[in-house]
Amino acid sequence: MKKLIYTLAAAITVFASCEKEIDLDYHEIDPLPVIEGILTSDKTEVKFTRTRNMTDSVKTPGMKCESVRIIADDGTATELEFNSDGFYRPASNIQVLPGHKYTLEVKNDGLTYTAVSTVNEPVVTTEPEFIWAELMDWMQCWQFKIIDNPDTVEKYVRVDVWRNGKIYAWGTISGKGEFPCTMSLYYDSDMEMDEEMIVYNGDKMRLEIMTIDYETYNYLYGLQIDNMNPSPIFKCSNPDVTCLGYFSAMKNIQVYETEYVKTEHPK
Amino acid sequence: MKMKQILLLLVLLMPLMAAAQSAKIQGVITDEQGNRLPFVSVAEKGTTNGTISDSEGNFILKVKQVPATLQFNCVGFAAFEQTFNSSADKVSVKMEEETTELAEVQVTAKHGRSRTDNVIIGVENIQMSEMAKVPALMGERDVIKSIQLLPGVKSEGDGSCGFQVRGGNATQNLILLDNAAIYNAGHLMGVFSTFNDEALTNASLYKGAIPAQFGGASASIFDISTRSGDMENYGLNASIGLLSSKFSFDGPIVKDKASFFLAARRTYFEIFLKPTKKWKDYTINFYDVNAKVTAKPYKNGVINVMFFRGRDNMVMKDDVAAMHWGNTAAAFDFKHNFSQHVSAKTSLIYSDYGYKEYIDVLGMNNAANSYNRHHAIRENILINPTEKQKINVGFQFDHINLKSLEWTFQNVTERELRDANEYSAWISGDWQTDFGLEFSVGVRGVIFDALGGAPFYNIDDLGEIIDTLHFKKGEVVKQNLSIEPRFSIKQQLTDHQSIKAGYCRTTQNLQFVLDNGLSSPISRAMMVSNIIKPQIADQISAGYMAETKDKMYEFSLEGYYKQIDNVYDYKDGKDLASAVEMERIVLRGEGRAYGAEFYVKKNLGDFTGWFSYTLSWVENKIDGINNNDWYTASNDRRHDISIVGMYRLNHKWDLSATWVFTSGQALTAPSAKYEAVNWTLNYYNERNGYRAPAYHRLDVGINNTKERPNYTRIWSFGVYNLYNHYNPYMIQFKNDDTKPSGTKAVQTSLFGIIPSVTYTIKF
Repeated sequence: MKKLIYTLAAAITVFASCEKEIDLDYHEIDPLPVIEGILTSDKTEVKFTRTRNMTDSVKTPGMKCESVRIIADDGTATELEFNSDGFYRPASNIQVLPGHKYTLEVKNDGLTYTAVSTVNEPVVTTEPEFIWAELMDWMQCWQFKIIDNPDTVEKYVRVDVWRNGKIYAWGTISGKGEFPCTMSLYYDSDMEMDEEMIVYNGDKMRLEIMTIDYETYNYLYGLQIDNMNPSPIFKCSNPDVTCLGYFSAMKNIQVYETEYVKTEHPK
Repeated sequence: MKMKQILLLLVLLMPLMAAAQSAKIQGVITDEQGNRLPFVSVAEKGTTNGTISDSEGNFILKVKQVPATLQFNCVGFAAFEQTFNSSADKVSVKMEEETTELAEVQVTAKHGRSRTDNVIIGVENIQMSEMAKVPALMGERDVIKSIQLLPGVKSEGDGSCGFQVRGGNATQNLILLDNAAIYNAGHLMGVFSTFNDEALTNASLYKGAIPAQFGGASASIFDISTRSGDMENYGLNASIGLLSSKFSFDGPIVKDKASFFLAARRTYFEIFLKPTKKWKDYTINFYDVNAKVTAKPYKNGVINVMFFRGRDNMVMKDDVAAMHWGNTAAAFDFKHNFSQHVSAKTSLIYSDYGYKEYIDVLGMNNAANSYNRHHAIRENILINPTEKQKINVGFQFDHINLKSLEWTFQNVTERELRDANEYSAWISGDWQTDFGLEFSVGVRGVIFDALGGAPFYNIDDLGEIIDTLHFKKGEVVKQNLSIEPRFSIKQQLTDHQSIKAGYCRTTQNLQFVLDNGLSSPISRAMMVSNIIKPQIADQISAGYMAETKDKMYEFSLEGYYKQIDNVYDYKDGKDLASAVEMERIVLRGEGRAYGAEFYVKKNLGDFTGWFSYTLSWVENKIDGINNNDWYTASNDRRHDISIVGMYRLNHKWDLSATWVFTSGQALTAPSAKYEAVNWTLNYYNERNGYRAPAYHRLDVGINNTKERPNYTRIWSFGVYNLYNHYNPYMIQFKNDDTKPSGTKAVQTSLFGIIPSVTYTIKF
């Protein structure tokens, strides 16, 4: 809904609006722990980092902590090992079953952080295709449909779009039954837009579709609002400590890869 | 019999002064069309004795001796004198609209007296004729933009028609158009207000001690009266502007018995979109229509039927996506004068604000809509037992239907519907002593019944529904009683100076929660329920008002402190689309606002204008937000300055300029960033802990008026934002690790310099 409002505001000011960079004196805070964990049947990765100042242009690398393990709801615990690229991974893949809960437990500096995630049955999708948005010859879309039984419960999906090995966009969607999921791609034209967002012929595109649980969806939706933080998913043994990030368990990540081929807008 | 009982009750409630023995003159003041004129200055010539007509145009003045000559002064109307040889109790004074230089003089004479004489503290009276002289965005005179130049009133900023009064946000004001509630009173995202100035006569903004006959808003009441048609002659006005055109047409239906008034306005904004590549397939427009029929079926009775509809449309070609919103309002009122001392007005009122949007592209078939409907009946009785006492007593019943939101996204349809009945009753009295002390005392009682029919919920701390409660349609789910005392006192220090103080409690049962602190067509509404509590504001205020003896200058200084209970804001990480059930996504707390307002105005001469300055603080405390600490409210702005100058060069040319300055709006900005979801994300440590850059701009206008035997034509030229200062509308934070700073704060602005020209012709 807000997009429509902003569109209207932008349209009204088509002759007048402008953007400029302004100076802001950011308040600094002590670094907070950040944990990002993804558990699937064929890929499990956990990264422990900390926040950085707004004026810090160097990304914080994955840090080694006391222990990282994943505990299934039957009590089975798997220890994860630290890798040189900053990620914790298990020695072998963990069996992930829909309907089951998994707990990520991270210990560091005498504190224990835990988060629980439920594995949902993955959605069934159509093959993604590039289509043009009606009336907008400057925006092409990468769209697929989620084909689900209308009688099933509402599904929550995260979608990541990669271009030439770099993240291009991400988003979340929820729905029931059969519904489209559309990611916008900005096509090179004489419209004013961020150059980094323009897609070109031959770009290598990758789409990752993840069926997530309600709690993760709520957290990621809150991140997209980007004006305050969603309620933390991780619980800390010291309730005064805030831990950012999420833990998402899913059966698998559905991946589609293709090369972008320019077409003409049908008009 | 009932009237006697009411009178007896009032006598018991309030000590009445003995009736004066001197001669008195009493009557009603109207314009040429029969519209009653409030706040007209009535002065006994050659003395400092005087009064002001009330909101219904009634006045009573005790004169020292007869014969006495009374002088009537009102903004935009020719000064008028009449001599009375004896007491008179049914005087009918008709004032003619001023089109000559004298109008400037009248404007201010009235304003100064209004400020010093009016017993109610914190009232701003707006006359349309004065508004016409202030430069306006795109040449469109605008009552909402005009009040934003007054002390204690601030604009929400570019791109919004919302105004903030004494620490309240835009949705804590109630705008009444002939008593019908109007919501989101802006066209084109606030570029224009919903109100066509041609259709209005006057307006009063109550920001301090709100009179007891008004309620339902925790910040202010903006009471606007629409225009009636001329009972004798036909009139036609037409204006053509760059973005919109309008006309009004009025005249008698039956001469001296009934009249009609019709005004309409439409924009043709889409013409300017067609040549652009990006927006050529969009249709963006608005229209509004005002109509009124006035009839005087017998000597002491007046009937008015008012209709208003305003609509905004934004449609993509072939109707694949659209957004529509607007107000519809209608009011029927019947006023009867029982005697020279007692009159009553019965009103039937309907108002409906609605919004809907849909998108049907790329296989998506998503839609959302909401509405907010009132059906009301109102009875208001005015009693003037003596010339120094006024009593206002009445009741109102509102049936409210609220659809906070209904959406269909991805085959999931959800809605939140709520119904309520609101019963209000009030009594207030004004009492003027012989030693310059004047009181206005009132009380308003409100019973609000949240009604069953749609589900209610029990919600846990995380915002999840733990129980769904079902009640029969019409069954009272939750009842809330509010008692709202109102009190204002004025001590006249001299004929030209007064001090005032007031206390006011107001309750708002229908509330809105703002997204990013700004009102918009899609702002979510909610009513008192088993979980939501009514917003209650207690305000104390005091001030000093003065004018110079020659009325050249007027001056006021007011201070206020306001405590607001049951302030709601979205939870961290939630917005209006996070859930359809409002109770799941909001948190409750309290707020406080305090400040001082300074105002000085030059009333007379070729050069007139004013300077207003407001110093204010607004803070909220809501458990669950900002670590449960007090935080700066999104509408907090420390300094607010308006300077308005109007210069009448000659009878053909007048010039005007307005400069406004407002401290930067409170801003939520990140304090750290981190990597997750393969993205760099912001961490927000404090709500509204930063400030956006300050807002300021200069507008100028020139009017050229030429009077012909049969018509008057006006060319109006204006420049909005003359020095092209880009003011903040939105600020976003973008990570940029290629820069040493690491982060870019990008400000989006809406309006640069905008010239305008409007041609108006009046017959």
